[in-house]
Amino acid sequence: MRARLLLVPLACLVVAVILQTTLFSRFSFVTPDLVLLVIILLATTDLPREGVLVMAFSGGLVVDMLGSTALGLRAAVFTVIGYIAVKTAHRVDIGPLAIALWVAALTLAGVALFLVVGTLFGQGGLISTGLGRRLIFVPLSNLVLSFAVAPLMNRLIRGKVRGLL
Amino acid sequence: MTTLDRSDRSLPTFITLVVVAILLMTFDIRSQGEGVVSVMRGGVQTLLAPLQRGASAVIDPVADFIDGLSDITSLRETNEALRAELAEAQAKLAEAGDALARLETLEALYDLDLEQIEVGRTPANVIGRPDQFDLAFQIDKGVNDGVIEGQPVIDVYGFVVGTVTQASPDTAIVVPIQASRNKISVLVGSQTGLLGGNPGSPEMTLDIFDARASVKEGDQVVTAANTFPPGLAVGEVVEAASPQSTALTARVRPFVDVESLRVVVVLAWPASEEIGTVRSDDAEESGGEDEPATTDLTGGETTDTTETPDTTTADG
Repeated sequence: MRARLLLVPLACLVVAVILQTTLFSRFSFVTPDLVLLVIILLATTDLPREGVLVMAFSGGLVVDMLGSTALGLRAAVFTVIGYIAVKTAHRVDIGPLAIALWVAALTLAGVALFLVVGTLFGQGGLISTGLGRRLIFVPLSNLVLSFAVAPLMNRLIRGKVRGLL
Repeated sequence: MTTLDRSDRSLPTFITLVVVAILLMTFDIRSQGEGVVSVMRGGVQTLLAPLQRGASAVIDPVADFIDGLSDITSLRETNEALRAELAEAQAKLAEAGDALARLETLEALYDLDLEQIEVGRTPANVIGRPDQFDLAFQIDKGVNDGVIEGQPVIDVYGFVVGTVTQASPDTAIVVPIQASRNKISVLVGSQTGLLGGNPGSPEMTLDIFDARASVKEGDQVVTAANTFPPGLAVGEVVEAASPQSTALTARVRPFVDVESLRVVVVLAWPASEEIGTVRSDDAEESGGEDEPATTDLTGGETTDTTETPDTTTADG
């Protein structure tokens, strides 16, 4: 069980990074931040809170290494969002719709924090074209995907379905 | 009680991780991505590149099909616009042909031998983008293929895309000119200026500090010899602008849509460096090139290099 708690979230994170950088970077409107989605949803699983934070930090760091922004920018932002997620997860454990809305709100907070911290650290290139569209579509895409990803992750990590429609 | 223990440990973990992340950011910015950070980035890119390549091989055909379906409604309008552009281009080509003939006559008359600059090219596939907010992208060619940091990148039509900012053995990161912190030296007509990104806008800003004349809408902006080879098309002026005192600022729309790029070409520039290796099998995979090639920048044509089947060496 302990190995499962370590390996499955790690595998989820790697798959999320690969899909994020290859598949979802191709579309204009289906634009989730899959790594952030997985990190938020890890807070709803049986993974220890510290584990969620370490996964958030690691996931952000890996995406940082694949991009042009300063190393640690996404790691910091994802860790903050991971912390808010572990502190609030118990409040939304009432159904898939609540989880989806919570995911969308945290994604929006993550994206806004990412842009603010990035700009403060001189990463001006982040504010690229279609910023308004992206600010809407990234949380919306995560909201929709959470209906499928949340039960899948819970099933994989603890063999129990939660958040299924 | 258990819950209390877990929350007690999560706060110190959270603070530690955030502090480490901020230290990493500061260190990375101060070292400008060199040293340990560069090695770490290279390592992660090398580890993930095979997975990204595999995923791209599966995903690209499906995504192309979906893209095609979504674009089908606008195809008729695009077709008509392209026909009009083609007619205009043919008229310009006829004019250029006449000018070229006169130039050749003058060259022969005055016995001129213009220097030919040939630059090695490395075609590469775009295999990944970090997220929706970072315009940088990852290509499937790296140091082993002759790609090094600082080399310019163009698209398959020869329009400027950006610069290689990070190269690992098998992959590299390209930052487009729109997202770059550095401005590039460009020419508009005979005037030299600096072109830089404009956060929040698809257009770029052109600054000419010793402006002698106005720029008109549609004026072509090309690279001046510096970090990019001279004469590469960058974009066009969006709106006419006149000099204020001796300075002029204009808006420029780049020709390249960075987000739709699938294949790019890395140039071995400066041309004096012996880089730009292209293997024929890789080139075929990337851009449908059969053999290593060099770009003749003065003539604007691409010439195949058949004397050196394994590598293409840039000539100064």
